[in-house]
Amino acid sequence: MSAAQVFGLALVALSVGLVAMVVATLFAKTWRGVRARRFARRARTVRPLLLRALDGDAVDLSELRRGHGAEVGRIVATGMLANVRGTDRRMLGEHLESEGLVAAAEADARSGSPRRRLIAIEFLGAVGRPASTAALGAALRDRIPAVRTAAARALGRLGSASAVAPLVDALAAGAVPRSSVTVALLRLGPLAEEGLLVALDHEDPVVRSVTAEVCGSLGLTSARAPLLALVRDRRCRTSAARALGRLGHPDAVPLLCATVEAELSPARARWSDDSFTIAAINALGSIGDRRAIPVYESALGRSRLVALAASEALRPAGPRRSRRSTALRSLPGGAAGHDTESSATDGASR
Amino acid sequence: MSKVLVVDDDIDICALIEFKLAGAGHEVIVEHDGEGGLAAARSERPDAVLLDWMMPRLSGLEVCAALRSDPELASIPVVLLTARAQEADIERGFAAGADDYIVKPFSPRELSTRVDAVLKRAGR
Repeated sequence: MSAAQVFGLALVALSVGLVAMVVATLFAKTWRGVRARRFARRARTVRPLLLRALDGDAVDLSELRRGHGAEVGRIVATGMLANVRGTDRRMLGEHLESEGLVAAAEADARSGSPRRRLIAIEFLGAVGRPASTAALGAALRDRIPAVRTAAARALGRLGSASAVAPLVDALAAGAVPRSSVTVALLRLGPLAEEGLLVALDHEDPVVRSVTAEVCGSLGLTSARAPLLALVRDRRCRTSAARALGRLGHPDAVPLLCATVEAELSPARARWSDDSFTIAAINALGSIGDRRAIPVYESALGRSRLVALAASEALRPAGPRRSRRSTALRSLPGGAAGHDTESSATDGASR
Repeated sequence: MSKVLVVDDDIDICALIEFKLAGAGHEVIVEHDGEGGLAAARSERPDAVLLDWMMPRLSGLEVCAALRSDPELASIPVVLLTARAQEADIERGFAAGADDYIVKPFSPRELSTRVDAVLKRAGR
């Protein structure tokens, strides 16, 4: 074959490919439109039923247990439940359960279709029945990442302490993004306290770190002692320090100061852990105990980020302000971009 | 029977509010964006307006401010219904002229009660 023939064939193949792509795109767009219109049509018949259930009517929802009706019903109910709270929400949830829709969704959480599993899981999370923990916990081991993440989200919405253990297990297994588990645990709130305290002692440092952050964010003062212990664990101490800062209890000051001083010592100059040092200084700053001032002053002479954290912690320290200003001016680049004088209202409030 | 204008770009929320307020005996008009809502307020002269904040074309806050700056519409009670729950948002809502502020997720019963209350206070 000549070069011209080869070129011609290639051009034809490319043209056919482009046309096929355009046709496929148009077909997909048209099909999505058909599905959306079909869904909207079906939702218009389903929505009034759910609204009446929300209002306390004993409406027959049997058509929403299976098939396409189940899918549309779950999607509409999930949206509705997400927007309401109070008595209406409770009544709708109870009616969905009594009509067998929750049990049907728990069964569909094991369906062969990933889409059906996803919709069922979102629905179970929205209804928020603690009895769905087992079904959602199993879904944390699903082979589809989106389904696992949806299961974590749903467990966070159950409002049950029993959701903590499966979330922690999923975190340890690396099955679900850390952020999704963190948000779910935060959403569970103080209910998760007991499970979180247990997880602070988990063998996996990732679990201990995430749990420490959650305990701090939730303000769980019962976690103080285990968090102090974690400050001594190099793999988790940054998270533990941040959490102790959020808890704000002065008990943490001596250990945090001692650990920062150890990091700032000349012996550790080559291997110092700046991320921990900054987290600990920020934590001390949040606690606001004047016992930490010498630590801030020692830290002013270190790397720029550590010195900045120390200078911020010194900000409300009042009479020490002048030392902060001097230290800032000695940094590379001087005090440019940092205000060297705190407000006139700084006092000896701490 | 009072006429309530509901302006929200979420179809499910509009259906829910319409159901609840109609059940309480109100005539409900629904619009799904700010400009449509403002136009409906001018043409329908509702007794109260229930406004979402984050909407296409014109935000609820802009609609509220527009209602307050129109002498013929300024007296219509306005209730903001929004997911924006920060203190600063609530302050902005009232500063724009809202008579009440409800945060999503909301209690439909509470919403109905609040709408009745603002209507009663406005003598409508």
